[in-house]
Amino acid sequence: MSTSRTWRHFDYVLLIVTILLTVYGVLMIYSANQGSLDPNLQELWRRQALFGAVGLGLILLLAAFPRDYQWLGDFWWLAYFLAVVLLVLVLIYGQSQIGAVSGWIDLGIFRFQPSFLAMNLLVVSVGAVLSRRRKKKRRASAVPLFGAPKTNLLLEDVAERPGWLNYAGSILMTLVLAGLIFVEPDMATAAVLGFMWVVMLFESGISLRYLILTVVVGVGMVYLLWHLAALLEFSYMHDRVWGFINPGSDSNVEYQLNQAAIAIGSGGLWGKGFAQGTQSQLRYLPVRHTDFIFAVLAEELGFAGAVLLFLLYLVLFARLLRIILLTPDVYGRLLVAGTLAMILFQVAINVGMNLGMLPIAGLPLPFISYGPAALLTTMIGIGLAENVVMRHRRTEV
Amino acid sequence: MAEGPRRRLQLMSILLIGLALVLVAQLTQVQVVNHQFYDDWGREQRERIIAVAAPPRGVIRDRNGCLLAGNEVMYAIEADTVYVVDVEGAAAQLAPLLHMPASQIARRLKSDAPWIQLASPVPKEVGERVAELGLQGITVCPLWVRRYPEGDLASHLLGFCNAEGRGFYGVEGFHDGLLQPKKVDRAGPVDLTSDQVPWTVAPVMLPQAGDELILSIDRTVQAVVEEELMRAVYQYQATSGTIIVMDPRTFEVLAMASLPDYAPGRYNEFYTFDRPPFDDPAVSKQYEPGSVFKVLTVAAALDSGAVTPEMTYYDQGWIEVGGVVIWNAYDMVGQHDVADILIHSLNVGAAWLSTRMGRDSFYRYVMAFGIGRPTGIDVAGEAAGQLWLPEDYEHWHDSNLGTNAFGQGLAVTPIQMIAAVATVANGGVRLRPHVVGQRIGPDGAVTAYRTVVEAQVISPETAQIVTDMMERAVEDAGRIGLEGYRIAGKSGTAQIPVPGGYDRERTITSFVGFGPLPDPQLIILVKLDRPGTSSWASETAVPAFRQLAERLFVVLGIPPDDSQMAQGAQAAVR
Repeated sequence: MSTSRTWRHFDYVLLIVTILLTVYGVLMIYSANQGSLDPNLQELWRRQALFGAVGLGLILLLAAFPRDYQWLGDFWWLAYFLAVVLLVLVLIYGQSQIGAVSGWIDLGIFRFQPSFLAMNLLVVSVGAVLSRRRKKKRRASAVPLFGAPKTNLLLEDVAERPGWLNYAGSILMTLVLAGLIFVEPDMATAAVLGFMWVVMLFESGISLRYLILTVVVGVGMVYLLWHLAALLEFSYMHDRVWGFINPGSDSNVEYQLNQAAIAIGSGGLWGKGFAQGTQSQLRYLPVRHTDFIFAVLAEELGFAGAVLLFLLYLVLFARLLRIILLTPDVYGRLLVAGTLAMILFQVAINVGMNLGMLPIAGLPLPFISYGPAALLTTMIGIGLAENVVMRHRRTEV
Repeated sequence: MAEGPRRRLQLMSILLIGLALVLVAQLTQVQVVNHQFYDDWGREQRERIIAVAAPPRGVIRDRNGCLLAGNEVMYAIEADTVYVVDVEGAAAQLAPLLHMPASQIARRLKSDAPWIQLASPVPKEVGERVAELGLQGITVCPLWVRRYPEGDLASHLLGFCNAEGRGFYGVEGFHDGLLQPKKVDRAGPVDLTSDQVPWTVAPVMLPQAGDELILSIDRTVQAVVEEELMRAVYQYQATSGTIIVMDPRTFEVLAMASLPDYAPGRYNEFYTFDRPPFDDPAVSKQYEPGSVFKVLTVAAALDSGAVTPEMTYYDQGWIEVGGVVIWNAYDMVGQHDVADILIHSLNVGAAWLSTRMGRDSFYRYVMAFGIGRPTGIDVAGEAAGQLWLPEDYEHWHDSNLGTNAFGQGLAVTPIQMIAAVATVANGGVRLRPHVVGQRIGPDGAVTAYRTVVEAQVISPETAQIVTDMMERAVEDAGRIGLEGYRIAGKSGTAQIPVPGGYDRERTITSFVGFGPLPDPQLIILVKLDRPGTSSWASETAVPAFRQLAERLFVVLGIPPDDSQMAQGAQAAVR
């Protein structure tokens, strides 16, 4: 149902920022692997550019989707089912890419990480569950007497706060998905899902009692899991976190953090020039095109380049917040809020790790790090946001 | 939109901006505040001193291009003991190649030192076979080893090069700076695996091989000279000896040999000697020249105008100078002219010349002939000789003016003596003797030796008169007798100073001659130390000279005077 009327509300600024960030990423991947000894790695930027183009197509497709996003909400159970199936499949048939982590499914053409797609599916399904309301009797009184157009959303619902059923349902759904990812094991991605749920819960307008309860239980859970992880075989993440808390206990962790700090610090105000970073090009910096691409960027383009990246992200977040502000219905807002939370959390964790403020977690820097799955997931999120903002007028009175 | 969600949205925005501020603050801390610290850390991590692979030392050739000193690729077999996994297996495989017992190799591989050298240098084939074994922890490192393909030929002249590539003695020592390869050691970046970074190497100077030196030495002449020297030393039972052959027109050395000598390629075997024979006696060994020196005295006296060739004096057999009585070597009482002083080698006559000149004039000429100072020849370790001047009042005595006139009381080196006499042969012009004819840079640029004119010591006329007198000295002595060649020369039999006087029995006999006249192409100095068969030059150095000159004229294709005159006549007819 995309008409010229709906395209008028298409967020071009959001699209342009997305394109700029993607191009920035492709450039940095190109630079990051210039010094690599593996010719395949040197060519990775082409793949990223290809998937960037595919992602842009997806954004336009989602924006131009003939159905309203509300229609998507009706199939929340299907989305959730798909996520669970994929995550179970990856546990059974998953292929290890890094150490003991089995997060990939080989589709022949490219390997695919279901845990990223699970983020989109979580937004769609949990958002729907959080926005569902018990139908109340007040509904009848809200219906205009004379021939007003009937919408499938009741105005009273907006004011209605979600109840314990929404809370319980969403936390259960999130825990299942996060748990499946956690045992891959991929604690960082599981944490992304948790954060997304918290933000969506917050945005859904739920009573503060639930939020306080969530924080208390969450802290207890983290404490418990930390000790559980130490006992069980999830040793790598334990090591990573422990290595961060006690630098020097793990020379590899210390080495990686030191190299990131050297690269960023030596970059200075204006950087060493594109593809001229000594630490990056001489291969001192580990996993340059993914986890530590921010260090490459900060070394070669300096403080100026890093601040430019932050500004692009701020514009992106501001546009997403604007959509939330414009959108009157809860489900639309939650779709955007979930996507925002997904991007924000990954940026914060990745940059924080690069700057030595947080432990090493294998989270990508959205748009910038190499990774087709991550890029497409982010693009799908943006596409959903465009779909929401294009139709926000339709639900207005 | 309701008021509640709007407030929550504000809260989220504030959190977002707060997060951004925290990240920017940390970024500022790392990237701006502590920039220098991390920059230094990174540089410390990636910069090493990189030794660029060493190019070879410059080679040395004779005037015809024959190799006298070259380089061979050999290998050092080294081991990083930590990485040697199979010690016994490696030892067993290396033992037959290195000609070492396997047990000994194994013991060394087990040592605590992280790096050891098993053998160095080993021949190319052995090194390559060890490399083919591909033993873990065993490294094969190529290195240049100096080689002297002619063995001990021209050993003193060449000097040698040690295992570290430093040249010592001879030309190797004197021109070490030219021969050394131009290595490039510099600080530069290395990558994670300590490999050099190609894109930073490009703009710097690349290492270059050392300069190639083309000597004025003729390999064949040198071989003949060494053979004749060996023969003379044996025949006359001398303890040592020196022969120098020079071209008097250019002062370039064609051959220079001394005994005892050594083999430069095996120099380390000679270190055990009490006195390693490394210094070149031709430029470093000082001796009292004796009567050969009279050539200089006569030339000086004639050139200064103190005497004329026709002037005579009455020789009473002795003369008193400064309270010391000087005697002739044998009885020649009578009236003599200046030529007789050379022909009969009259000590009294020489002293008469020097006293007539006066000390200022005499020593001015002696110094102009280059006595008492190094000639500046490009061979390492040249000595200055010893000449006391009247100003050196602690050493110089009035009697020195008399004794110095016939070559006593002063010391010269063979190269000084031959250069001084060559001045006479060269029309009175003294040049700087040299052994390097040209040098060829790594880029192929040829730099020829630039002739250095030291002084016009005597006039060409005086030089001609003295040459004629020297020719008569040779003819009258009647012992040279080279068929068809006119030779000028002077012999000397010098006593050897010992504490408290002179050795009563032993002498140093020498002869300096040049020819063929009238256009001398060769000047030869023969010096034999303490000959056993006779203490007289006429019976040792002179026949040695005769035999050598005879061969050299043939080897160098110098035609006898008769045919020269015939050619001259033909040219005139045309």
